[in-house]
Amino acid sequence: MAGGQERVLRRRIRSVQATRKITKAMELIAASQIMRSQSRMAANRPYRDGMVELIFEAANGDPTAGAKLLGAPEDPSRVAVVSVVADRGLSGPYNSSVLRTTEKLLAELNRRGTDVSLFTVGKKAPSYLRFRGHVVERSFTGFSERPTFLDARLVGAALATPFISRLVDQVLIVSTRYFSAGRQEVEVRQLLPIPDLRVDPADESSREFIGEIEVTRGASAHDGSAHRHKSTLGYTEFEPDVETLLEQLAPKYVESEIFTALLEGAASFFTAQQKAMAAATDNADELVRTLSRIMNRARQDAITTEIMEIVGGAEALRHVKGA
Amino acid sequence: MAAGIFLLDVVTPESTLFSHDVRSIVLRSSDGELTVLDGHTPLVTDVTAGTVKVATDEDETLRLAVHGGYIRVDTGHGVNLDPLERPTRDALLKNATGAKSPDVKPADAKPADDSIATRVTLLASAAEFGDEIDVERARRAKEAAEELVEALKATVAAAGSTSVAVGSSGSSAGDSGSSGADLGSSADPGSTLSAMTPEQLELADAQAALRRAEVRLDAAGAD
Repeated sequence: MAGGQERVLRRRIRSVQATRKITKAMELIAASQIMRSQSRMAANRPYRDGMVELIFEAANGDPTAGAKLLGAPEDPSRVAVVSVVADRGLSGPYNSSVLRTTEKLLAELNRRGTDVSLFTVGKKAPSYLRFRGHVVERSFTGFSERPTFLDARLVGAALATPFISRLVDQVLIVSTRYFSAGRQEVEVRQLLPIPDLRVDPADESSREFIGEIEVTRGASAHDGSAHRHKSTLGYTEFEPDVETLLEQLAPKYVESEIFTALLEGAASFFTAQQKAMAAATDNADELVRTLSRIMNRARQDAITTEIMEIVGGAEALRHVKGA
Repeated sequence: MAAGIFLLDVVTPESTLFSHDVRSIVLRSSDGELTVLDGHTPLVTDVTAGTVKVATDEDETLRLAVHGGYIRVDTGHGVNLDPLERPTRDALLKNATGAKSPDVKPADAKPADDSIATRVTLLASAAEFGDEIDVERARRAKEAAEELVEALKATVAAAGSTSVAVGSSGSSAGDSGSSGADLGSSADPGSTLSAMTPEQLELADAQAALRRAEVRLDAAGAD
């Protein structure tokens, strides 16, 4: 039934073309959103750097202050982990790579007998992690693509509160860092205690390994050297005193870092989505080409067969007449 | 840089509001009112919600509504005096077409000359120019917030009368709500948040909204 096959192919081609239209549209939308996310990241940068500088300055002002709030926790037995993914899928490996890293981290923490409380941002996280038997303490959804500072404050409060009331010893964030349009990487960072920014990021002590997972502490190398700048007169007044100031600043620092992470996550999400959708569009093009070829061949087959049948029939009739 | 003039940056998490030469800044910290002039000693302090008055180098007075934050005064040799770049629309469009991320260039300070200079950075959770505030809207927001506060106070009081313990914590939570109302310097959430009922949280939110509306009205020069 050659004609039937042709119809089947035609229908498949149409369906692939319809899918292609969707993926193409998503690709274009993602591309425009990348631009917006990038500009929001750029706009956030001075605040974030300023916050880091402020803490750096305060930590320098009184090295004895804030022992509980700064540096590396000794043998943390209770850890809060927040995992930042998107609300939506169709974004290539964006969600799964963060979630896989989170899982590895959780497995290693559990192996050590650490008490873990897990927080998530993005709709895709709770289902994945709950399915694998992890208890999600609280999940935040609905703003992964356009986070506002208010959203960051909400998450920040949920994370800083248990730390300040000494219910957890360490707060870690698993999120995607956006280095450039071509490079995004999953990173595990320590949010609290506030990383000691006086430590050089290249220094070994600014890193910690939980299993095979590296925990970054302090400003990462691509943050630039802007906040390495120390007040040049060598003395600074603090009002209130450094200890109180650091206590006030800790939740602010967490909010600021989370906001940056959310913005970078959004930019990474759209970049991943654009890439995934571009690939899907290419695949659809390829599929349409292949299917068209097969369909044309099937149609030609059908025509040839039909002609052969007609010619054969005519020939047979002629033979009958001539006989 | 001319004497008496220094650089002020006002940055919020979402944008850089201002980065320009100024003559003086008047603001309120938890310690009282504070005026910053060129050559002020290095200082880090908090800024309570309210109006920050800025005199620019062109002797123009700007009023900023600042909803709480922190200020850092940096005075010394070799202070970086490059104003922050406020990303313009053109630059953003160029970045988008070039598909290059705008943030990768490191903000390396150019070696400034060795004279003593001052740079002030105001980090605010939220801030806006007084003359950009919609007074009518702020006034409406204030009225709405006032009504809400009254209504919620009644609810909280009603809930409090059923149990003395809750009633006493209700009034204290109300106080902390108003002090924590300013966006920037909200009180330690750890101590209050867990002890508050949903109604009290709502009341604190409403009081925060009221405080914000008041700050905006003040900065806009109304009332």
